[in-house]
Amino acid sequence: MPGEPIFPAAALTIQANAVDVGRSSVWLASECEERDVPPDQILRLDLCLNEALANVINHGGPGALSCPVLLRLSVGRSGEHNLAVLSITDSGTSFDLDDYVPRPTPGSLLDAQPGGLGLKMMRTFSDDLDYCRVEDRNQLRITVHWPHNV
Amino acid sequence: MIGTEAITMKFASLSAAKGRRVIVDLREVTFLASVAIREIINNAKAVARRDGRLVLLVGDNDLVAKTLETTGVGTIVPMFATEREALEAAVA
Repeated sequence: MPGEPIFPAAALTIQANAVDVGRSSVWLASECEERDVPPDQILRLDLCLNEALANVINHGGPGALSCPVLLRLSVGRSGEHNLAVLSITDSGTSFDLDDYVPRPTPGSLLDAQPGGLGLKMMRTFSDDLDYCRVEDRNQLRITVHWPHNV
Repeated sequence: MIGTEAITMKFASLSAAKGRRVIVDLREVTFLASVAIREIINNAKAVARRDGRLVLLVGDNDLVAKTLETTGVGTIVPMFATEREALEAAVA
């Protein structure tokens, strides 16, 4: 993780399905609380985790659904901030964050096209979002940070 | 994700009648995922096509309000901070 770890990392292996999305959310909240992550930062991470796993399930293809997904949480310190980094490693189809072009905001309700919002939301609610391939798997890292004194 | 699946059918059935006025109360929602936003848009469209109106009640839930603003939904589906405002807009 970027910065100096101040707690041991936590990890959870799940399957890419709706039940395990719920399980991962409970795990995230519990591990974050043990590591003194503020509640509003946990919510941001949880929202991003939900979106990331929805993308794995809906767009990752057969490889994503048949192989375990690894979640790893690290909490550390960097300069003026504490930070939490949640990595999500899956075996789905590779992608490129830079390929994503956000849809223009619809002018009216009837023009609105549902979908395509997940990455936009992750970018909004994380402080940093990056992606790489690790041993032929996707690894998405979601970072949130907050001042030391919170 | 599970929460949204649990309400999809009920949400659609409640929104199906002609001229229905619908207030979606999001004040106690932990956060709003994109799958839930899709349901809101789909149901708001369905209600509008049947001469009804769907509005959102967000109270002081800043995370939900920010999500709606970020995704542009807040500009196409009216959202309100108080129950009274939401009710007035829904029946107007």
